[in-house]
Amino acid sequence: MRAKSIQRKLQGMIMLTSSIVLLLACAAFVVVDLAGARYTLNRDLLSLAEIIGANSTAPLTFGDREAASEVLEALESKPSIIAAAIYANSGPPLATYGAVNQQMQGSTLFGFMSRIEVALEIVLDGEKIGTVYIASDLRDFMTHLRQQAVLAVGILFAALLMAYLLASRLQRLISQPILELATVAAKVRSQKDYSIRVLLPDSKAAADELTELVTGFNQMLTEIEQRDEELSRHRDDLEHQVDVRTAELRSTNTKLADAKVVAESVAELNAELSRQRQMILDAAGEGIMGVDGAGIVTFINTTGAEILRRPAEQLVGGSLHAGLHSKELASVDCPMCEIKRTGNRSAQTTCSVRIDSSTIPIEYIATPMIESEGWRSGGVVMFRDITERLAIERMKDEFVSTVSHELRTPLTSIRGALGLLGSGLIGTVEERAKRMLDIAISNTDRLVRLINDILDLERIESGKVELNKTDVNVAEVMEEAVLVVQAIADAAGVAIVLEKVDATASLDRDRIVQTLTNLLGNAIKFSPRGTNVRLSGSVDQLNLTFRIRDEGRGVPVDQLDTIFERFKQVDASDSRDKGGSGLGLPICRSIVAAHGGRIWAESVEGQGSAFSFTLPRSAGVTAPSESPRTVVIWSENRDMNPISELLQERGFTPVIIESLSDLMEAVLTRRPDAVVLDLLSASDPRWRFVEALKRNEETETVPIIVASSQPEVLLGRYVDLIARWIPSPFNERELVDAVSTVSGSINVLVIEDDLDLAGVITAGLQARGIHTVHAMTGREAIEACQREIPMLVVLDLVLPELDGFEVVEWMRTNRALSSVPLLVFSAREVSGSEQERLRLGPTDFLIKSRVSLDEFADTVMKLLNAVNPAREIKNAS
Amino acid sequence: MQARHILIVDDEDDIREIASLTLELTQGWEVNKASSGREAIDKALTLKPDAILLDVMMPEMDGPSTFRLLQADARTSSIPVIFLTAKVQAADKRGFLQLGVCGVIAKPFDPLTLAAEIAERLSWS
Repeated sequence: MRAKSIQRKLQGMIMLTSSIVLLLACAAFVVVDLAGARYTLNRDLLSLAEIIGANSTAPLTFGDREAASEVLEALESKPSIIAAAIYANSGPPLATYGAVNQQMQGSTLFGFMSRIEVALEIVLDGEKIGTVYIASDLRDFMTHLRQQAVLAVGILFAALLMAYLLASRLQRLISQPILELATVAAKVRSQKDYSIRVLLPDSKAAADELTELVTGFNQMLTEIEQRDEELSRHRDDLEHQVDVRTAELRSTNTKLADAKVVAESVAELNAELSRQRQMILDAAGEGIMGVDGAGIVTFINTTGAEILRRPAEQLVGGSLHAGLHSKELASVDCPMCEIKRTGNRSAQTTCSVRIDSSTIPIEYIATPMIESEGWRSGGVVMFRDITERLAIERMKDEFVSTVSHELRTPLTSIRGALGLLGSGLIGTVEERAKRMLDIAISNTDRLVRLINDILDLERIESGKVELNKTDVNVAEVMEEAVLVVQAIADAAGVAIVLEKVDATASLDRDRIVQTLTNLLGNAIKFSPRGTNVRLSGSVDQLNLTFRIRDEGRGVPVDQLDTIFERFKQVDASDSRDKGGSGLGLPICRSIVAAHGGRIWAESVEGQGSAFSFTLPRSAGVTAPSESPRTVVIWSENRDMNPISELLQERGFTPVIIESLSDLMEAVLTRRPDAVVLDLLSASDPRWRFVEALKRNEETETVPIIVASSQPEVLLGRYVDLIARWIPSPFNERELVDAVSTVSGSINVLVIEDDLDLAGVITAGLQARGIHTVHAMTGREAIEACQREIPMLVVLDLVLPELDGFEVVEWMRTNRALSSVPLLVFSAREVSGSEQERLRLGPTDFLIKSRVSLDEFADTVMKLLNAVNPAREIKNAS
Repeated sequence: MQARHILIVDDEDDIREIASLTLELTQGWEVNKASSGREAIDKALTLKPDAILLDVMMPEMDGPSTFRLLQADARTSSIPVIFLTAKVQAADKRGFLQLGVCGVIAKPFDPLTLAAEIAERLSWS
């Protein structure tokens, strides 16, 4: 529309301009033409008037009217002359022609447009003689006028037509590009297509403003197109990014939703699990309690809370030690602390637990919770109230003990009376009566053994008897057992073949001798005269195995398993009845089981049987002669020579390392009994070497002695890592004492031939953390001293083989032994001169029946401390 | 074996009799008897035996109490004491030894070896 309008406007403008110009030109032409025509007409009339005047001079001079009329009559040839008159100076017209009317008079010559009138004075000889008047109509003029008008109009129209045609053609020069621009703009606008371009007009028309406009427009479009492309690219990019992000978001959302589902199900599962856990915990008949690494109770079940008679809420979050332990149970004895240290499930333990002001006995097992890398985060304690059980056990014990006593008392009388009768001391007894008395005596003995065995078995199986484990020489144990049964064997005509094994093991000497004796006795019992019973042993790193083989008829295969049951004797019709109780093998089995070992029988019927039992040798128990104690030492600026010498004198092998970076390797390769490090304070970075040792499973058990200038209490968390602290700078003796203590080498040599008394002494000293070595005879004592220099000697004077005096005499000849503290523990007073013969290092004398075990142990402590005033040997518990 | 003077303390008449008869007959030792802890202390003060064979389980005052009273008195504290008891468990025996007695002899005993056992506990020769 606008396109049309601009075309029209242009055409209109051109047409308007042309029309106005043409009209003005035509009008001017007409006016000029008309003025020319009028002027010609006027001049023609004047010429005519002059001609008439010239012709009328005569008539006027003469007044000849007729002649005048004649002159006028000539006008008839001119139709346009409508009137003519010849006037004399005065009077009426001399002659008239046509209609001369009044109007002539007084009127101006050109006043009247319908006609042209001319009046001309007729002059003769300079003298006016008359006037000629001619009037002509405008007939010719008008005709001319009409002709002119028609011409003008014709020209006008032709010119306008021409102008129109030209305009309609030429206007395109301007309008075309504009229209095109407009069209393109409209198209661009409507189609949003920026690739459309306006076509440039012909090149000849180039370089006008329109071209510039179009070019500019195109450039603009190009620019817009580029922008648009960029924009759309950007937009695409953006869209892509948005898509990617959206996809990511969507997947994240999905994942999140999945995770949520999982989390919810996990939470549900968790809730279910914890509900089930609680149910299981609460259903348990035993108390179950969780304890974290700091000894704080983390959970407890209903039964547990009931046993402890406190609400669970009150117990959870509280300290196990502070809340429950009774005073007599120091935290060092706490199995919880023990499992934290060792990482092993504790043995079943009984202890008393504080309830308000009283205590109740409980039995419990602590199990560590092992996290990754062996880190122990705490433990679970299962416990039960054993008040009732203890009461019943006490009743049973009392019963058993009473019965045993009540049976024993009459048996004592019977046995004594029979013995006296049989001895013939009271009166001569007839041979047959003597035979009867012997039968009575042997059956009384059998009854006594039966009672003893029943009691024994009861004790061992109920765990009442604690094993009195010591490091013993296995060969000695075997010899002792053989010694016990030698008489029976001799009587039976059976030879005992002993194949000794030379090793050390930690076991209850008496009980193992009892076991061996039992098995040897059985073997002898079932052996035909003239055969052998063989006792052999074998050891490996961990276990010790004994084997007793006979050449008898063997045990029927179907009875191999049952013979260890009570009163299950092999049918012994052809054996020499020794009056066994039927409890020998069950007792053996109980003893072996109490040691953590295993007993079994093998047999080939007719070829004999073999009874074997295997016992664990406690870890680290090796004969001192085989592996001397090793100590790894590091100190930055100490002279190591005197320390080294002193340690060697005490039987240690010092390993001095130059650099702490060698520590781990030294500990791993040398397996020392102790490590000594001279550090500065808790801030010393070298504590990490200590930590490294404690982190390593293989080295964590090696005791570490740290000498530091900072007091022990300021070492903070490191205190738990070390076995002993000594002040730095330290003297050699302090160090060596510390090493002796932590490596378990405060060893006291107990020379005592009474096994029971030796057992009592050993137990009493072990209770104070002192390791003992037992020697039965003077010779054994000397052998023990050769293996390891004792830190103190307890000496009985009356001994088999070399007596006490001889032992001391020998010890005096050795430099290291001559200053060892000595405690003479004899049954009788020792005279002054005898005392002189018995002096070693600090020496004291005690008489057996005069002192209690506590006094005895105190004296031992006093003597140990007398040698080493720098150290207080503290009780280990 | 040289002649010794023994005080036997037991609430059981039979055992007292058999034990004393045994020691008298086998060794010719001089034997005195007491049937309670109280009586034992009195006799120990007056008779000053070389050793006391003391039953553990007695009514009123048992063996260990008697032993402690004997130990507390300077006049009797040097007399060695051996418990004669039906309590033969190692733990019991260790407990008695911890009290400071010279030895423990189990019931029932063989009358023929009783004197030797006593001599061994007391390091008599």
